[in-house]
Amino acid sequence: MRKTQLYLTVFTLFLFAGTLCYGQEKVDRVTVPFSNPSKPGLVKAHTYNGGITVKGYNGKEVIIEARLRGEILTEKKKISEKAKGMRLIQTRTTGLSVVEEDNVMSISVESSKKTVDLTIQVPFSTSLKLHGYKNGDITVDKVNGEIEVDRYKGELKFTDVSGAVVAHAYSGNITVTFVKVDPEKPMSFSNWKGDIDVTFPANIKANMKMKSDRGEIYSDFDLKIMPTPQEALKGSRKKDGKYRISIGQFIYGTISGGGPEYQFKTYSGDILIRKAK
Amino acid sequence: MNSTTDNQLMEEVKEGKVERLAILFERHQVPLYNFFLRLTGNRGTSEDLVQDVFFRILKYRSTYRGESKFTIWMYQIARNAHIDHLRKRKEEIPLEEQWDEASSREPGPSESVEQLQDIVLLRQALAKLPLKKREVLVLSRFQNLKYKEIAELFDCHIGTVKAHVHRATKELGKIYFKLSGGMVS
Amino acid sequence: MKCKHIKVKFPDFLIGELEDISKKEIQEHVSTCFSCREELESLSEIWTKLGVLPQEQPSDSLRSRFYGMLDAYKQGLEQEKVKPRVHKLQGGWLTHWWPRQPAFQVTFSLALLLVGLTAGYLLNLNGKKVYEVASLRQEVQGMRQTLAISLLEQSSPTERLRGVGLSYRMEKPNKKIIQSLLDILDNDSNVNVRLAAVDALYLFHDNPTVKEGLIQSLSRQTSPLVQVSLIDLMVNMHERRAIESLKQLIQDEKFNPDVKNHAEQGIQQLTY
Ligand SMILES: [Zn+2]
Repeated sequence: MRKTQLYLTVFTLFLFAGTLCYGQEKVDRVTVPFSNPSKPGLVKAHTYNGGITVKGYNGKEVIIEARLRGEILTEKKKISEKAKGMRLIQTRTTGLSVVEEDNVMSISVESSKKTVDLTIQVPFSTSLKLHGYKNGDITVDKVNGEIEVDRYKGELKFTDVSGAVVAHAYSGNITVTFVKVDPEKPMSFSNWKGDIDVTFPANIKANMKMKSDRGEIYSDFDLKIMPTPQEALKGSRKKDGKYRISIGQFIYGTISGGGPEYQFKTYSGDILIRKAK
Repeated sequence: MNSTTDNQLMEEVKEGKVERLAILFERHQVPLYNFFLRLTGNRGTSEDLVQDVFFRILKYRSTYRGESKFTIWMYQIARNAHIDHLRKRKEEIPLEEQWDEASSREPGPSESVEQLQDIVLLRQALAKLPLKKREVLVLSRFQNLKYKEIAELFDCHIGTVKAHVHRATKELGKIYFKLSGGMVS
Repeated sequence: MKCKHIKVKFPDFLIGELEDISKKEIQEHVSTCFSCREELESLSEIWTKLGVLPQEQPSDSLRSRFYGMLDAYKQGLEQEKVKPRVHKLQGGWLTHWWPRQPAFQVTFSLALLLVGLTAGYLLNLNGKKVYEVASLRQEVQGMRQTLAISLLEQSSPTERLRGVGLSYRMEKPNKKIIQSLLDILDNDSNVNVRLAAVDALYLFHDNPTVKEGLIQSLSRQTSPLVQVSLIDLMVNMHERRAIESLKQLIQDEKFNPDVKNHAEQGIQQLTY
């Protein structure tokens, strides 16, 4: 605990150099280190109105920029319930607040009336938990870790990521390209409207589980279709020796003999599972 | 009384500071043990159940919602642990026969023989009450829970709880009267 | 009529939580009503008598067992955070139950934690003071269940997904697994994990708790994707009792029109 406080004190110093103005736009910029930079940290970001962009870079600190779209207004910010008892590190016109504790950095923009876009640069090896509601996309580039994203409206675009992804968008396409996957971890991608388009390295081993209620499923992987666990348990093979694939159910398949489970589910979009070229 | 409330401590446990559970354990282990003792009549079982409750608190800590009092949530878990325990050892030993140890115990320095007799009879009488009545009675009489809190715990109307307490006390009185040979001192 | 009104206050009288007016009212009434007086006296007598039941102290072993469990849990959590490499176990008794597929291999430290926890747990259940590896072996299924439960409670969604995956590879999950899956279905913050739970629970829909839980869950879900999955599931398990919930859903303003459509189709399939 004492250690954490020390770090909190250290990085408040960074703040005073923070605020910059780019013409019409109002930008808050803050650099925050993890309390234990030798271990991969977790960055949590939460916005209601605006987009989130996360980029991996060759550094140890997290650089956060909050950009107000449109006019400049001053407003008081309350520290969130969760962070009670901790110090508020940043409070500016964008309503940006950052709290770091035990290698977990929580970034939030609480303003709902104004649109604020977040740009976050993180060390390459960092896990992410991003949550956003409307007005903008969530993009992630060159990050290696566990990436959990939940978005109501807007697209999810992840490029050159490694590790594992658990992503959900209510309406908006999900596009992901992996450089490498964590061979141990399951993944899951889901949305209501929009396509799910994921490119994996050619050498992955996985169990696939896919379903689109209204759309199509495509893949250039050599997918071996398997019975559903339900059918496997009941042994419901048809006479011709083939397993029944019924409408309204998930399709199960394996790639290169199988591995962790990757789940894909969309209601009205298509599912595209691509092999990296 | 410690200044940190149970709810605050449980929030901390939920956030990952599991060592804070130790304070909650120290505060509640004795009442919880006695709660089980009055339900089961068995000391070993009661200790196992206390351990089980704290194990479950750890396990389900992410499901804790701070809206109601921590003790209400704790007794919810305690009731579930007890019910699971009953299912496991269904009809193995009739409840009223589990107080073997107590009945053969010598009276302590402050207890008279009559008092010991009373204790034994009351335990037997409690054991004969149906589970739900026994729970309501024990919670209101010994565990310092308000009727309102018991209502929250059982997810029912406060009037129902009061009616249960009323009936349970009445029934306990009758059983006790019968056991003591129809003579009430 | 008056007696009924008075008797309702007896429970508050017993715990001494009545305002003076009500107390006075009772006193006045029982001074003239014999049956109420008799009842109040006998209630008070047994209520007071219960006070002779002593508050007992648990033995010291309770405390040491608790701290043992807490330590094991804490260690396990910390090691989980660091996420050490997976140690493949060669031989030994652990391989008897250790999942073979890479997807289900979990860190050795977590396994050790579980051995600690489960050992403590078994001691509880059996009341035996001896911990033997031999007896653990017989608890293979139990261990796997504990493992799944512990994964279901992890803060990282991939760990929870793994827990769900592990649980539906069990032939006979115990009540705790089922309960954890139902909890996940209702409470997990991540839509993807909830979706996986729907699928896992489908396997156990013969279980009455599961059936009930799934029907109940429909109205609690906020994500249309999970709602649609639940509707499909009910149709697949030919659960006619779900028709009522589906009809309610169609009436409810808050549901998405596509979901309502889906529900209507579901009702047709269930009633044909
Ligand atoms: Zn009367």
